Amino acid sequence: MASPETGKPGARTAHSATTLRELPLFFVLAALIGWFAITAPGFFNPINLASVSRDAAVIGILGLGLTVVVITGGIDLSCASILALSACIMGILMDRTGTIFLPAVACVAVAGFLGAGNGFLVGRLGVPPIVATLATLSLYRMQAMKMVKLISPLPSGFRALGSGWNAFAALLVALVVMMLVLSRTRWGRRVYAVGGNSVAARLSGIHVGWTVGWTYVVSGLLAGGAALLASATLNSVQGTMFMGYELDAVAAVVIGGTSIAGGRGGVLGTALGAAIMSTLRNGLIVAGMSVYWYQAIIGCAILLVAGLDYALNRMRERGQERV
Amino acid sequence: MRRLWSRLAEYRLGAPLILLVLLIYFSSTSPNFLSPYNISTSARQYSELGLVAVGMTLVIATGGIDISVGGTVGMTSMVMGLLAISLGWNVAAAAAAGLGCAALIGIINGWAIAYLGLQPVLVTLATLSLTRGIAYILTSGTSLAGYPPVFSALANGSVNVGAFPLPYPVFLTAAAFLAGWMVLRKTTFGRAVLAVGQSEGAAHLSGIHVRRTKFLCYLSLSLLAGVAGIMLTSRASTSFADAGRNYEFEAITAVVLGGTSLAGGEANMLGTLVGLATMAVLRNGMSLAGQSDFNRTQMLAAALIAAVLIDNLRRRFAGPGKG
Repeated sequence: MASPETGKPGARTAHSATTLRELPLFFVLAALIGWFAITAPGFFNPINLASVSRDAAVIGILGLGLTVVVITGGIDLSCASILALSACIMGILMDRTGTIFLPAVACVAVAGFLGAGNGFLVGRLGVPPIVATLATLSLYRMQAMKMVKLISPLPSGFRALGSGWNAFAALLVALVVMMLVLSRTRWGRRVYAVGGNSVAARLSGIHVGWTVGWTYVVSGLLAGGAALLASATLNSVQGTMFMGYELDAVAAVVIGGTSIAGGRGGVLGTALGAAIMSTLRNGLIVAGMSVYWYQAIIGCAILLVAGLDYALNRMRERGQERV
Repeated sequence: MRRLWSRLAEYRLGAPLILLVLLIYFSSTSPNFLSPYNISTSARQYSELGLVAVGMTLVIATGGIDISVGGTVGMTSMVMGLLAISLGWNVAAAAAAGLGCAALIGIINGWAIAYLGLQPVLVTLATLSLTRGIAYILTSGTSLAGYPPVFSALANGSVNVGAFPLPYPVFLTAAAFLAGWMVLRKTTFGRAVLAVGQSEGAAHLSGIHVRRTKFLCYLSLSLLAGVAGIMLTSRASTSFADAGRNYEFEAITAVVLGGTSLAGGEANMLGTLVGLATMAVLRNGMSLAGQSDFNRTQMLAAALIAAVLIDNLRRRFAGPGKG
């Protein structure tokens, strides 16, 4: 049976392997910022950079939760819908009561509950993740759109959360917490074990369904956190808010180097992936290009990263054959 | 009782039974439901999705998935519009060019998934982003109208059989379903598709071209999505970038409702037709009953989850060795 001790070495190697992978992402991000700073006047000023950071924070926090799900070999396409529905419920509560604290708590709690719905479908009932979360994507989004068209403005005290670099600070805090959870807790190691080989994980005494189910709850909770930041930044909640952002979150995870097959990856890469994407989107707009290019470029970037991953694996395999 | 269940499971009567119940319910509650006009309009609306669902059944039978189909539909529509409306090409030539672009996406999908061994979700997510992006880039999001009446008649015309107007596109979709059924039932390629879905290793050892089989499935799905794009453009007499939005969700729903398992290795082409009909009946019936689009979409999502759960139960009752 797996004791924490036997699990540790494997987890540590997995961790150090991911930090090496993330080095190129730093360079890509730095190169992008440098490129836009030179070619797009207006990009490299504090106000614009803060707005990039707020965008990165929302995609990044959604992506952090999604990363945990993807490491187990699953996927959560409903994360942006969870964001919208929990934000809408919070908006209604703020509108009716005029208070800030309890609606914000309710927002995260509702998001965790919605994530638990996914977790139950996937972990307990064995519905394939892509189908379960595709279905809840519609269910949750339609519920949000039924409940709220637009609520604005939100209480002024709440808006402080979305001003300046606060959202970015929240992303950093969430990142550190998730890194610790994945590398230092028993549950974190189980997540990697399940993604690496679920049969082996089950045989070594890990409750696979339970572990997988909780990853969706974590993803939901983080989507609730992202909902707080997003609605504070926008100073409004809408049923249609952040529609389609699940694809941005998946792209951040994939560009960040987490394998969609499971077992490999980490949250630091996802945060960098989110930063790269929001820099790219903002830079393109400031440079005067159509925002539509963004989507096509992200598609190409995902293909490129997947192709590079393939090429690296092939090189590694060949190297091993020669030895 | 157990025997009855296993008998039902063997003949997969779940989906047809649900369809029958829905038909009886809606025809008793709304008088217009069974009117020739309503049936004909509904069938016309779902004919494009039907084309995509045929291809999706093949891809899912290999154990894969393709979420890029909606983007391919939109891109085909816009490429066609740009050539035929903006550049004044002959409509047939423009349609052929649009189909060529769809084929290109199919080649990218098929090559990356079958020959490089990349994850289907990852690759088709990237091509979804890419194709939808291109669809918007081409005209910066504006729709293009002004097709000749001959082209509009392609999807809007119908043959009167007695008092019942049979729309042209329904013939095309019926032909696609028939062809798909024949391919799966009567050809070596069809057997190869199922063998690959059950076990790629075993299929390879029995001399099946695993990669070529998978490649052809993705290619044919993209081609069918291209044809769907042309038909949708004809029906609307307009090229629009948003064409085919959510087709991936709806096509997967039709396939799964029809009893094809996402695990691969089995395909039920007639089931997909039943699944498609169930979706059409549910949407149309609820619409006649005055339900909002939100409620209809939520009902479909619930139906999708229910279908997967029924499929899981079916496997349990059908016992070992029954797929």
